[in-house]
Amino acid sequence: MIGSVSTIVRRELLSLFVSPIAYIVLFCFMLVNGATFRFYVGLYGGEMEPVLVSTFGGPAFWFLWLLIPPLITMRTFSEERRSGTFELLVTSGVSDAALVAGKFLAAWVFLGLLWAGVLPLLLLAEAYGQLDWGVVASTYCGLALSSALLAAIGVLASSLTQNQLIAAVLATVVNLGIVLSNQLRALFPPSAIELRFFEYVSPPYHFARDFSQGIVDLSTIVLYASVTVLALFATVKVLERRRWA
Amino acid sequence: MIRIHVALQLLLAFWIVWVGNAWAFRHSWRIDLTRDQRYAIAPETTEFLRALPKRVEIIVPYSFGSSAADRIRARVFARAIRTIEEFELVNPYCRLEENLNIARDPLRWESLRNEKSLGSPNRIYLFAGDRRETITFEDLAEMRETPNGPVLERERVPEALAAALERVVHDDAPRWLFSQGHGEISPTDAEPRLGVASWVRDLAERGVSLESSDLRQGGAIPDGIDVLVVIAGGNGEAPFDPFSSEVRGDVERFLDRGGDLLLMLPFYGECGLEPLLAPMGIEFRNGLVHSGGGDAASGIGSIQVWDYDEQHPITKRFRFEEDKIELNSFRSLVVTPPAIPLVTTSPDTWLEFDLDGVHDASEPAGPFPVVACLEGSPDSGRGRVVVFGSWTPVLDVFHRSQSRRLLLSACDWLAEREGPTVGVGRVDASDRVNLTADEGRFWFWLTIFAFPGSALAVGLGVWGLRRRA
Repeated sequence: MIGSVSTIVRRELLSLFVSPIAYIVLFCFMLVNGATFRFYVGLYGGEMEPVLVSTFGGPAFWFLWLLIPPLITMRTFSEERRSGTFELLVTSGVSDAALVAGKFLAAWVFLGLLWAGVLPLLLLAEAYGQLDWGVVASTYCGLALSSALLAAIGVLASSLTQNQLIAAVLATVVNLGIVLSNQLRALFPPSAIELRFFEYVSPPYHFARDFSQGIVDLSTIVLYASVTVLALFATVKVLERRRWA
Repeated sequence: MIRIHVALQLLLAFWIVWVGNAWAFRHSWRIDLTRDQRYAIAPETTEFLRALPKRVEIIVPYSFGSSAADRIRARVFARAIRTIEEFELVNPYCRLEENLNIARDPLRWESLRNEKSLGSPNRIYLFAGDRRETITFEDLAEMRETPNGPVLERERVPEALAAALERVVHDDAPRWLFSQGHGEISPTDAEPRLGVASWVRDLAERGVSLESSDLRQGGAIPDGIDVLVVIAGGNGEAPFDPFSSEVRGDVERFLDRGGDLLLMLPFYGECGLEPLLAPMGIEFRNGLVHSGGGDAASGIGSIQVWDYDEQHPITKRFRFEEDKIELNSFRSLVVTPPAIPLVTTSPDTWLEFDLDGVHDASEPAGPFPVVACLEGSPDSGRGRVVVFGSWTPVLDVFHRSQSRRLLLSACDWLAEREGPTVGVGRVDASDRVNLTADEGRFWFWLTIFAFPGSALAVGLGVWGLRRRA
């Protein structure tokens, strides 16, 4: 199982990195992050605490957070199905679970590499000042958890359709729903249980309250990890559909 | 059949996720990774929060500009809001009711201000039943000016919040009596130059019940008074009329039955309490303490505090040499045991007798104690005494920043409400990046062109290699 998973991860990452697409995405990603980071450094007079909060919580961050994962995951199963390699893959003795895990891990690793592209900016700031690396660590913890969730949702969306565009749109809509749940908080009074629920499931709230402030909460870890596993489990079940006929 | 089986599997998985999250929702376990453990709550504060006797609602209305100082204030308030949320996780009875950005919702601010009788924005308001407490930026942190602009010097957000919480949940309202009849400043005096409204408001927000009484009439200080306040300022036209021996006798009996005294001296002359305080170790000198380096134009009596008693509850929250309290028109005290000198001026101060701002040979050199206190003795039954060498700290024009902290700290001690100690706070390790114009340009090219460009260059290299292959 582990051998199959690592083979799939390698294959997926190789196919990404031998094509220029990965580098173009990385270029765009670093450009947007570099520009916003430089902008915030100027805006906050070099105070790194608000710069970090804004870089990992501003509009550009949420734009990338929403759009990039579906673009990466849209081809995972849709492309295999469209090109006919999917049947080849499932008849090669690889289990559905290993297939899903491999595809998911490859997407997650790639998302991780994209976010690692922000690290040179932080190292630059460290060279000129004193960055709070605890806050950076918690932020990256949040990024890792949320990227896993988004990758799992993207993989699930891709397993549902042969059309890459539909897969991307589907995943984006779900991601958008998750982000916009934060806005629903405003509809409820401070003591309402609904407010607590939307706070609990809202990534913008998690980043604003915890991750970008240097705090890691067990409940957030449980939420992201469990929903990620649930989405992957659902993906496996979707792949099993072919046996139902 | 298979479909039902799969649906059941999915339902079971969903149920497990739901139960797991319901458990996590109720069992918050948080790790603070910040460098200075900014949001970690001290065990004694956690204990206090868990035992909070009543519900406390907290409102934080804010409206900060874009100046560097305002950005720092906004940052500290953001930390305070985060800390209140951490408190709320310990005990939901400590509730952040409203966190209001006034610029975004001015109408809400107007309605909230009327509904809760709020004062200025950029304060933290705590309500517990009919009690209220206010926290300002100065309570939370200190800012320092540098050539590169203001910097956050120190912050004590969790401690200040915990102390305010403790004050606001107290049920008993200490009764303070302002002595009148000798030219003392009245707590209701609205005259701008002699106004004490800020201090009186601070006391009221600390739950102090304020009364005033002409001590010449009837003599005795009413029973149940906790603190006697004597602001021996004179009324601006006539000097302070010293207490008679009868009034002094009343004050002595008040102290003997455990009452506390806050005495703020007149600029010159006697106050009438000398024979009472001398055996306790507190005497006053004539002349006003003046700082070296100043001149007559800078204002006679403008001094900076040099030293503090680092052990005493009133002053242990101040830092030696760093908390430069600006005091005005202070007399020097002569303090001997059992009294304790709390605040001392620098060695380059001297006593001005002729008020010409020049250190003449006949004018004694510092340092001078200017604030002193006397701990109440359980044996004698006597209460606490705090003597300020001047009445100016109560004035609105001087009741700010560090001198306000000092006075309120003394008031808290007199009211026996030191609460969870608000220490000097943590030095805020500056994470500011100061860039010169050249460095700013370098950053621009590096962040927007060099870093992304290097990713693109690698991609082009891979593409070229594949084409060649």
